[in-house]
Amino acid sequence: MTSLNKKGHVHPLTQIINEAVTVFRELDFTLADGPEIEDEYHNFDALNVPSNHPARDMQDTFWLEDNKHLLRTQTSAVQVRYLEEMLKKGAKPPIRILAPGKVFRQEATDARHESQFHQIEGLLVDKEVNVSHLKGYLEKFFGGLYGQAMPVRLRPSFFPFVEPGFEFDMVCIKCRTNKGEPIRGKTCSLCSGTGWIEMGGAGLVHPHIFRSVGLDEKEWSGFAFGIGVERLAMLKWGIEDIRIFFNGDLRFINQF
Amino acid sequence: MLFSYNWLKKYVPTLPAPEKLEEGIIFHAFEVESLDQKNEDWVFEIKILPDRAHDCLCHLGLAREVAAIFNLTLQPVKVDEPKILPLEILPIKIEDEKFCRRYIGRRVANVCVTDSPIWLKKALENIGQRSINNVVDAANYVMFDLGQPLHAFDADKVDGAINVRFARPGEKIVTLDGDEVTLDESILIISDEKDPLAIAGLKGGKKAEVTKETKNLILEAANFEPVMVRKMSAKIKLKTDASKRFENEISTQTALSAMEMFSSLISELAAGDFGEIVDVYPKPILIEKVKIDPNFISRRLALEVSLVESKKIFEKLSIGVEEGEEWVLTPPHWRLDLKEAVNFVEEVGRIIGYDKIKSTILPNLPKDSYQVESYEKRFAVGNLIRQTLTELGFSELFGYAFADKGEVKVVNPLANDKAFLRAELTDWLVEKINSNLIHIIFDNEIIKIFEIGTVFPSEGWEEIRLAIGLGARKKNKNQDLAVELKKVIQAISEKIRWSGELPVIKNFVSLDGLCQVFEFNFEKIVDMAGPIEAIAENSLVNPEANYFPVSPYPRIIRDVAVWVSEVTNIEEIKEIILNSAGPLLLGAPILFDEFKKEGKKSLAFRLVLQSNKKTLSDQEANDVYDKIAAQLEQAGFEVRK
Repeated sequence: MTSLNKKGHVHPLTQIINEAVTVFRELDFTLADGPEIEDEYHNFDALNVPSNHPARDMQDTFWLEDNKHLLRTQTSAVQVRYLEEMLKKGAKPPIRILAPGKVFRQEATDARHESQFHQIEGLLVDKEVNVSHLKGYLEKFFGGLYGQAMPVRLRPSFFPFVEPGFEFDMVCIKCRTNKGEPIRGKTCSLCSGTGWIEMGGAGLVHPHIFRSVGLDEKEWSGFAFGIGVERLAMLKWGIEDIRIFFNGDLRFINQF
Repeated sequence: MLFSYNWLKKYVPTLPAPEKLEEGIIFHAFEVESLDQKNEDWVFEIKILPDRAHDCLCHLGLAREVAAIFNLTLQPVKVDEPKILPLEILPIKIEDEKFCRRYIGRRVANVCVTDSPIWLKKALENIGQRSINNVVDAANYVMFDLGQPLHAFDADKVDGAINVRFARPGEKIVTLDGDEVTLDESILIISDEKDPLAIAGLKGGKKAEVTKETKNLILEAANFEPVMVRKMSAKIKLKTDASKRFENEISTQTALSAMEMFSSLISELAAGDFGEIVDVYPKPILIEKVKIDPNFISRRLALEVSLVESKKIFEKLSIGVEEGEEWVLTPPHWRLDLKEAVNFVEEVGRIIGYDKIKSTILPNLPKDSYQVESYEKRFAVGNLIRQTLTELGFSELFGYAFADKGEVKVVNPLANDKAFLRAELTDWLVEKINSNLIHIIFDNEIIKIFEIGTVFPSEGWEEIRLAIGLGARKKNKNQDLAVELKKVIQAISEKIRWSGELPVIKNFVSLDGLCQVFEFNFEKIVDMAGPIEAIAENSLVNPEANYFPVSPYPRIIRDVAVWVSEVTNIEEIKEIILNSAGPLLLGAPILFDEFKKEGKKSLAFRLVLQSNKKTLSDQEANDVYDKIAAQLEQAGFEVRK
């Protein structure tokens, strides 16, 4: 009875996370994680999002009954925890970490929005880190993921815990030349003909984070980025509805 | 916010074409969400994020950006100061200057409140605003021009002096929308000597509403403390264009230029005699200078930016520069976000353009660098268990953290059945065993699933669990689910090199024994794990995976059995079926029975038929079957009826 002895399947999101870890391992990144229930300090204040500031509205938040704890809205909370733990142990940078994890947003769900999803947070702290490093590592990542040159483009944006802050785009996997240059004007459901696909947010670590944990901002600098795991999976396999990842339907899972 | 191209032109007459302007804004300032043509104008929908909402939720703000990006001149807008007449004194009292930092008032007599002229109606309509009358529209226009909310009261309905004070408990106000709001001591209001006239920074009240009958006005341009406005807005559950601007903080200097523009516009549209400007500004806010090492900019951007170039960019952004070994920078009064060196790095970087920055990476990390082994181990053990379980036929699910019961409650759930955080994985796995059993193709098929996920058993306690579940539709002599599960657990123990029991949290067995779930403390399993063999992360990645959407319509199952010779290749038969079945066949035919008799071989295949567009009829399924049967017969095989 062959059908009964089939191999099982690893969830597509686990596969994406493992792909990302594979690429970043080569670049000397190690793993980190933090709790899914965070306190206000690690999720917001330490990340330069003070209470009663409109920046809090950028991420609709699920609060717990004590009004001090919440479901983390971003894996960036791991940045602060990791640096704190490092300093407590008397250690210092350089560090390079990758923190894949589940995050939550209190927003109505539809094919593109889910109340829970996964992010991969990257943090590199070293001496004299600059924007070209951020760009370089992101290109290495997408290049490793797709096995070909994948240029990255930075656009100005704002995330309170980085400055300068960016949204980053990767060249469209369908609308690119062999060398990786974007091709504009094609009819494409991925990039709408722009040649670029929006992938996440990033920036140089804001000195506020170093001050929060007690790391000398004159000596150390860094970059951080966040990439949506579901987004990578949807792009890779052409999945159109984000909710399908969590419906527990083997007719979906067993395709991977 | 919506921005009008024509409106921006007032400030930058040599504006580039709309598409070019859009591109400049995207790559040097803000995300443009849409660009549409409307009433001989172009309307930009631009996402102004909280770092710039204090100065760019208005056309002047965006015009300043555009002028800096395209190196164009920003043209000052001429404001005609109306002639001043000696009107009755306007007394203004501020109870607490911390919360009302500035209050500018002015009397205007003998105005004519009427409809706005076409140009004003259109200007407001193009950015999504409704025209009310010339006075209210003038206030709105100036707000969308300069970013300063304004208000006008009907002076004849105001009893005595203007008071900016906190409300008394139980005081009430009916807003311009007609809603009655009960106030308390945390709500700052504008009142006369009798009643509340407006909720500070949020909304005007009915009492002194300006109507077509209004003859005399009191104009207001004030600056309220942002955190207070934000708290008030949350408490009253009222968000307005004004509160949005105040909670993002506005330069206190803007109030005066706004009052001047407001007056000029009212004079033009509604005539009137203007009294003196009464400006209560107890503690003028000083601009903080920032010292930076000018070379820091090049270092962080990894761009060779000359000092001359940096200085030029700062000047374009109205940032004062005092050169020296260290530079002393003075931001313009409207740039409340420029507080430390990195903010100036961003200014130079975005104006030059991030596309100029090359890509590099750092040398390898020194081997003795800090890292945390426990995270590595947790990840590795997770992957090892995934590998072990999938080899045994189990598939991995990801569930929701939200549940309809549990111990930890969410204050603001998306739905009542998602008000708790799950306290365990078992419930959900049982549910999924049952829902997946509906879709099995063979009656004796077993559902095998697992999840590694976080649960929240009580307040302040979260842990990662591993749950493994098995389920069948009916009893099978050859298959004991409990024995099967034991084997699985044994396999995990072996893989993690642990000889004791695994830390069971729960063992669920349904009454009929057909559904069984084991839930373990995954974090303890990680602790127990000995030196495990590291598996390559990408070995869990299936490079051949292809995804096809699951049809929402029911499927139909058909079996086809065929006599073949003993040497016939099974693949040959499969091939014929695949080629003749057409698009309704889901996946490949599944061989489920095979026996030999009298030198012949019988092969039975199960076919799953399904459409992405509709519910299939029996007839349609039969048609597919007939086609396949015909093809098999034609190829010389005997189809068993």
